[in-house]
Amino acid sequence: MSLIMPQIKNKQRRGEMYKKFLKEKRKVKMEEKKKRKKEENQLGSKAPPKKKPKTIENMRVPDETMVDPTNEETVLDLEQDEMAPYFKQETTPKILITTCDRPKNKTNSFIKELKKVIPNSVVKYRRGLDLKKIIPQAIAKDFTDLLVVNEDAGEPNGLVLCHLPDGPTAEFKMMNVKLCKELKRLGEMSDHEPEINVHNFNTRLGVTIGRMLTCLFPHRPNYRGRRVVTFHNQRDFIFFRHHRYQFRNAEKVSLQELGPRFILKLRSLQKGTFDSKSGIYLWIHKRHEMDTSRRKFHL
Amino acid sequence: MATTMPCIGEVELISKSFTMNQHLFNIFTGTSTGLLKGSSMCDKNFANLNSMDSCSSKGKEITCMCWWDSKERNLLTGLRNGQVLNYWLEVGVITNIPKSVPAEKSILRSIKAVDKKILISAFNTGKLNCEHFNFDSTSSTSCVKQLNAEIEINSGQDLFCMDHNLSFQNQVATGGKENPLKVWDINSPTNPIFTAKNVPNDWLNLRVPVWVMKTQFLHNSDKLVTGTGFSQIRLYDPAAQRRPVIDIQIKDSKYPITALALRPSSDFQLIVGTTIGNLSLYDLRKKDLVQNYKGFAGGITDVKFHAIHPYFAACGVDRYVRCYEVDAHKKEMHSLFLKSELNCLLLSSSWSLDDQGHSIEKYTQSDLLSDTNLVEDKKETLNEDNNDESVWDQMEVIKTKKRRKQLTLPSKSKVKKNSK
Repeated sequence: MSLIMPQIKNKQRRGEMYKKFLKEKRKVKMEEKKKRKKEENQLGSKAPPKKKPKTIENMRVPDETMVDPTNEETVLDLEQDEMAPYFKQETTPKILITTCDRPKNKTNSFIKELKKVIPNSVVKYRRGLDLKKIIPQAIAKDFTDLLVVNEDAGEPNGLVLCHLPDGPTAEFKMMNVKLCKELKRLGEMSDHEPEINVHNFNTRLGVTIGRMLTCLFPHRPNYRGRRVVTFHNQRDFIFFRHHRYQFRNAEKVSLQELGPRFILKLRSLQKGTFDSKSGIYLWIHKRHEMDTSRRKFHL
Repeated sequence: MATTMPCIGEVELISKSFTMNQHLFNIFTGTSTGLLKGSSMCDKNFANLNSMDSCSSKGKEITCMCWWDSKERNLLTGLRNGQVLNYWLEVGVITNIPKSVPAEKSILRSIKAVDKKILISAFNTGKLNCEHFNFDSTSSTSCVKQLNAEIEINSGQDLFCMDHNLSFQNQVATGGKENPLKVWDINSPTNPIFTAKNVPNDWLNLRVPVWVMKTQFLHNSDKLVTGTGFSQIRLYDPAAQRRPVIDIQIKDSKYPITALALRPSSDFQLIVGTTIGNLSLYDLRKKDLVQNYKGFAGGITDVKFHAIHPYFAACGVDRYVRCYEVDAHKKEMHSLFLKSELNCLLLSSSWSLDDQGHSIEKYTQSDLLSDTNLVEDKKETLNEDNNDESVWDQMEVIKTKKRRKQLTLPSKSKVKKNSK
């Protein structure tokens, strides 16, 4: 019927036919649904399993860079990378947070909230200093990471995360920054060291990014505080959330949101400390070349 | 095994780890973890030729590679700490080359070997070592360093690249950051034959910084091509002048050139790779881009051409090795994910991407000799082609007027050849 329809030249009749066609289609669908429900009620647990809906995530283009954490070579690679001293518990994280020059109000309060979220961190005003001059000073003072929040039109829109002393440097686009005061039903933040939850970073690039984000937080969380910081990757967007949890019973957990929210998207990952001119890039987002498929993800 | 092998001089057998089927591999890549990988592009598989235990520290990172001789049976890898390892591919044996290793903190940047006799190694401190070796062909693993045959050249600070001239075998070129391009004679290590002069000041009358990232000699000549850290491609002709003869600024990108390879079949075309993963074919006469190649997500560390076929392979820090056909489509023909960051790459000349070549790869161990003969045959046929073209060189150049200054490039005979 759908084939005949375009051949009908009278628009009114064609419309009528189309409506009729939709009605019939719906009728069939509803009948099928009824039948399935009946079956489910009759058979109970023996009923055929529900069909899984197709989503962009589960139709993801296969990626050969997916990391198998048990692979000997991957283990060797990870043991030799720049974040390895943290995971061997040789260094304790100490973070320097700063902004672009002359930050507006929102960025200022955002970095103050970030300071509350990340233990052992220091906020410094940029004072027009070059990042390349800040980095050697920060290394001399034993900082392990440098966070720079950039803004546009008073809205924080970029984040540079530089692992010290010898890289790598990740540059993110930052979106939807919600400060504490903009969120409803917010809890009070405590001083306990948070747990960190880095979720769904599966490719080789994703593992590096996940390790860099983990590096910001202390090794041993204070489980009494029940604070948890989440970096959740979904379709290459990294969602930051900060919660306090409480186990109601063995199955149910209740969450209370505590801190700011924001979304990160990776723009580039560069080897070594910040040097956008002559540094070699491990990965750089090339829009026209890479964004050819909606089902292709990099993290 | 190590105890039974005769140890001559400082030779030490490190391990016999990799298997005999190595000659199926046609691309060898050195990684920053220290693993040497052999990969076969057609079959899409790869294997590590050395063991994981041998690459425990950062000093074992493979920074450069080359063939011991033109027969491509021995592969040399230069480690970051200055060691050079010899991979005897047919037997599957790794030995240490008894060369002098300098003090700590210097990084080995490049090695070149000349016919199993001379090994030239360049360090980032500017030191250049030329050592002579006696290679015993009867036992595969032994080679002895000739005493009193070591030449040391100090080429200035921050060396980034070194190349050896295949046609004039005593010429070596070096260059680095604020260290202009120099050509050295191995036999007279005190003074360079040629030192490049910086280009004229820019339009603000400011000095143009020098940063030679890659250099390569043109085929059968002493001309040089360099790629700089400010994305310029330059051609030097030592016979003509000290400043570059051709200077190309890559448009709309100021990223350093980290890989450069001249096309074997042409004197004017070269592939250039940058730190953000732009891979493009440039023409020196056109002074412009010919074609871009797609696929790389991270910086390119090495590009190599196939000796005979119009293919090239490139590797990068995004852990991929990719093969392209030069005049064909922008997309890669083959790509392979190798799990570690790749620093350098070598192509085996017996490799071919068509089906015929595929069968060549599958020769068994006993056929290996004929295999190498086949390669030489191919090279001979190539030489014949050259003979055809040498007719043009023999022709008399018709001059209308006496020229004040001899033109350097392109020479008249070559223009004719290419217009053909």
